[in-house]
Amino acid sequence: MDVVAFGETNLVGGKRASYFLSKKLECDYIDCTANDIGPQSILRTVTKYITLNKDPSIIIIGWSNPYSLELRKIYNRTEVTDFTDDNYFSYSRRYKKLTNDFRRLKRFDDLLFDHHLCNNRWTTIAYSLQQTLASLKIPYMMYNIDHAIEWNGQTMRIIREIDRTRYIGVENPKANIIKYLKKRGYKFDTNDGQKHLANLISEKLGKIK
Amino acid sequence: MTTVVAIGCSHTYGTMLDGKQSSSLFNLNNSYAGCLAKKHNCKFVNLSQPGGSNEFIFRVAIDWLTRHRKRDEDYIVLIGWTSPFRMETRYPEDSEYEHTTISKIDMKYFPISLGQGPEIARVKEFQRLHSICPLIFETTKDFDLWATYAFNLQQIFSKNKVKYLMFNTCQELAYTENNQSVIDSLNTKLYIEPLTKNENFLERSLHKGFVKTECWHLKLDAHLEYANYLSKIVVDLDYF
Repeated sequence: MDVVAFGETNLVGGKRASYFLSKKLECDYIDCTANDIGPQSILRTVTKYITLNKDPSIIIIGWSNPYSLELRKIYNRTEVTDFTDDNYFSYSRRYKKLTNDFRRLKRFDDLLFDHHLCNNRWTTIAYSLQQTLASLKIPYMMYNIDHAIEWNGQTMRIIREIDRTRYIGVENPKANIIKYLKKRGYKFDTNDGQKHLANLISEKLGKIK
Repeated sequence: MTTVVAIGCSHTYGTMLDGKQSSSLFNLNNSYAGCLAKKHNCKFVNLSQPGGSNEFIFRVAIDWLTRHRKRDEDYIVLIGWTSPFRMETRYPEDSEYEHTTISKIDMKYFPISLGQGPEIARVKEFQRLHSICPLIFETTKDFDLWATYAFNLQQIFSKNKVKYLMFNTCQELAYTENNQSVIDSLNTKLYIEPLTKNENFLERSLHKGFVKTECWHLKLDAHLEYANYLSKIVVDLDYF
């Protein structure tokens, strides 16, 4: 059994909660996180992973960067030699590495990152991945890192259908993981904080079994 | 009584089906999906949108599943995938603007696509979005997303025991450096020839001699023929 992490590398990858979870469960750890990614990238990479790998695995998804749009380089692309395609990036207001050819996007930020547009997209993706993973009988857990899905007329019906036993936080702004850890005296960016999160995920996975 | 639910772009919407109008109730109700529903005496709901993207199709399918589907009713969902070089934007929630087309969906959404005239947008800001189309649309990305949407929708429909059929309306899906495993995992019994050129509604009809309109849409005769073609497939699938 492998524990496979998806999300933004700085927040989810490396020796983060999924890594500590794999040690706790005595599983191998596979890091499928990438830099600067949002929900669209997570949908694409999880789908690619589960269609490529038939070995049993536990998928851990840390959602962040919902106000983003997945794009792919037009010039100076690198060849795709392994799982991760480094030509992809998620453009957001805070994206700092924008190349000259993409600078024109800046003036359309308000349109590209409309609240309803981005939240409806995120909710649709989260629900879809839950359904797909459940359909394929792949155990998983999701959590919000620094945002919560916005409850509105469009998202509420889908939110009601989301399996909350496998998604920590969903639309609760007080239940993103950074706030959750802070409330318990941990900093998100520390080993102790990440181990505490790993324990929380493990406990929740245990309850489902 | 079974309900046929159609989700797709202008071809599934029935744009120019009457040879005159882009958007009308007649067109909306008489596209190939509507003809199929009539042929089998089914109710019909057309949730398509002219200019609708594959992202739109994916979102509306999930919206229908969670918001409109009644669990004790029988449905056949027809998914007509479209050109990958399209995406969704949305007029601000507190604005008066809505996309001008007769439809049964959230009209705040505004579709943009490569080659579409900017004048379709109600506001200058949205008209200018066309200047960034070459940055937003990238072949590998858009084929990756299409394959991802198709695979996930197949899993979701199958998990929820919803009868469905997928096909392409104006372009075929293609392999990229990333999506081979995803495309190879598609259930091709329920997705007609995803990779085959000339098997989509538009090109298949043109090959059969049907005449297209100036804006590359088909009239009622082609829709009727495609309805007969789909009808044979759904009967073979034991959907009726």
